[in-house]
Amino acid sequence: MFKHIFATRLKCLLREKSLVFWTLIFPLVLGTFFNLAFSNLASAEKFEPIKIAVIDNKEFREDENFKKVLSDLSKDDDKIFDITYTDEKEAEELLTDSKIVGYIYKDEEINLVINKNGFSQTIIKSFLDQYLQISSTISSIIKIDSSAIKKGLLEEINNHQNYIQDISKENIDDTVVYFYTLIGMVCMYAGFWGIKTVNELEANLSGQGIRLCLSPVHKLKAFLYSLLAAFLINFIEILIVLGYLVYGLKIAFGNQINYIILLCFIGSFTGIIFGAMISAITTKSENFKTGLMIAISMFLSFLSGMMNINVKYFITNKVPFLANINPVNLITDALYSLYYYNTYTRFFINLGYLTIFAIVCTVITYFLIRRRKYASI
Amino acid sequence: MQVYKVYLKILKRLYPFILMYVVIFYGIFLLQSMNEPTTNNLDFQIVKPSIPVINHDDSLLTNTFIDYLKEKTKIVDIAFVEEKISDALFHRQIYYVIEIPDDFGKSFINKQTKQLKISKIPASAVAIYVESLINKFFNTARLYLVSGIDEATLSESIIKDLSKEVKVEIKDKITNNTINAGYYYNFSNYVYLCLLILIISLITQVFNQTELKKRNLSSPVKLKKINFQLMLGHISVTIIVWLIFVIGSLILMKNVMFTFNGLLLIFNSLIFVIVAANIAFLIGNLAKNSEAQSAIANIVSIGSSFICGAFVPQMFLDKKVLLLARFLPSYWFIRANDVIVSTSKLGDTQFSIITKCIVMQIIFIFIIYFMNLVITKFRRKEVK
Repeated sequence: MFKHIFATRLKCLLREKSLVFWTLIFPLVLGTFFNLAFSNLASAEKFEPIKIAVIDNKEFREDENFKKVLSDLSKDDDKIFDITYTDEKEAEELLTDSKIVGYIYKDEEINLVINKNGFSQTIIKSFLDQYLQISSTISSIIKIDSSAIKKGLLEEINNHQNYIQDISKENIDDTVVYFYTLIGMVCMYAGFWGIKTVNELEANLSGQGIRLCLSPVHKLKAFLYSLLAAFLINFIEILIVLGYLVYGLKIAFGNQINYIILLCFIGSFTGIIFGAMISAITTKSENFKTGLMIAISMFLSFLSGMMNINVKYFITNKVPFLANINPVNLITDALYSLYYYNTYTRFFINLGYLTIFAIVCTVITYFLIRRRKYASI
Repeated sequence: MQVYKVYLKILKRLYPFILMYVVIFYGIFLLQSMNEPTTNNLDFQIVKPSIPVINHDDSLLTNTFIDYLKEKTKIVDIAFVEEKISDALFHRQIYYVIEIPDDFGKSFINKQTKQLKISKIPASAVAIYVESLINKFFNTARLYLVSGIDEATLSESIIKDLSKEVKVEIKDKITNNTINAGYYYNFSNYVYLCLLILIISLITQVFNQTELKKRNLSSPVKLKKINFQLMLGHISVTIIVWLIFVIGSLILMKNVMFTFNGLLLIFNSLIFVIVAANIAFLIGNLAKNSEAQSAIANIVSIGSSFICGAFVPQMFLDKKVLLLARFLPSYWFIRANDVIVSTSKLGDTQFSIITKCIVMQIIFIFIIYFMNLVITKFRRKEVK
């Protein structure tokens, strides 16, 4: 019996082209778009030398120290500035066309002209300030202790020291989260299969359901076997999407492949049973249910950071309850914790919540569909 | 006007969808603009990055250092739970964390080598800035140590030196609100496409059903009239959707939208909704059934939003991706928006780019319009 129901259900489900599109093709396409859009984001975050202009006037040419400082700041690989030396009129034009962030001109003092407030502007100012400050430091040291030069002050100036020990983590690419929400979304889209399954099994929902109720098959068995067929399809789809992300798009997923597959296994089941629950709750049309499922999974994905990663951070910190009952967020966060942290506590906490969510849905579905019998329908 | 009335009837049924997209749009937009620092001040202001400092030391020197940092950065108070700080760092809420170890001040005065422990987003602008602040402070302090002064004088002198600043002059008066307006209009690319495709193509499909079409063709209402009323419907929808978001922008950012730049943004978006309406009509004509239609609608709207820079700004996109994007109308819409908000004094260079972008969008309107003409004709023959 198992073989018969299972194989027939597999065939029925796979013939639903639009379901295959939403649960497999759409995530693959979306992943490709993510990749196109985000591929350059990590390097865009890197600091680029700031483009500035310096007015090459008499005052500037006479100030050897300042000239040297500027040229030191604009050479080598880790340079801060990209400098154009020019006259005032051209600098003005470059600024209007946003070709430079600001320009420097020297009269008695050093002046900076910019277009708008911003972080690049802050950095330019900070480095120019530094120049003024060092001169001030030297003169006040000599005031305090006139023998300072003899004690090696000038050597000390160039003897810059490092007071920093870098203990940053290695995996800090935040764009991976978008791909993680994608996995979460595919798991929730499993709900489409769940809806379909229950719809074709329940006598009050479809003709097939009526026919099935007449056949001498235990209903729970028929339900379980059909669910298993839906689960198999969805789990394979998730593995395909996962494989595409890992091998095709080279997205980093942490090293614990077993844990990831375990997560997808539970996530896929959660999605299916959630869809089954929705299908069992209402007798409205299948289109309505599918629409509801799309809206719910879109909203859950949105809360997990699919459209903007800051949403996830905001929800997790301000409304943790909402984060803990959102299956897409639990899956995203579990994948994130495998990628970013070295410990597994957070992963298993997420997995725990996800399992509880799945159990609650299963229990509700069970009580909704058990022992529904009709004398006439 | 029977056809137009039916059109409006179908439209009424679709309002939950429209509402959903409007809510999602404003939800994301407001969250995004909350994240941006709001500097509406037109005088020079340094932009202060947020930095958590975990201080285990209580010496005069480190306190002076923290006071100094307070002037140049925003020292935030994140409860010192390692996981919270790591999370904040990963989500780019902060870019730099400083931990000052025990007895750091004492060790510094005695010229020993205790170091500050830091975590950062490597090579980010904030990291470069904060590191320059740290180095500036402690290297200045080190110089004073040569002259052998006590800690109190040392702190005082450093603060005095570090308060020396260059003069800054701001030429253009551009505020954050302008940038926000650019973001708003870029992002509207997605909702315009999504909503218009959803509505127009769905309704086009309803009227394209073979049976219904046959019935309509045999009615005494002239085909021209039917088509005219349908067109009127499409135009109404387009204008309604356009107005929803334009009025939203007028309310949210009125000080920007009533400037010349703001009006240009509105004009540019008007051109774009016409392109979007044409695309929607095309999809409605091409898609075989409503399932295929919703698949195409999603791929077109999400795809062109990602590739053309509605979600991720164009300047962050890969060069090759942008090259591909040039073949899509969204690219030109968003490019024009970016140029419009780049400066409040639009010069010839900017105008020529904006004109080019608008002309490109108009070319798209014509191309898609003619494709529609051909397909409608073809379809009509099919029915007959």
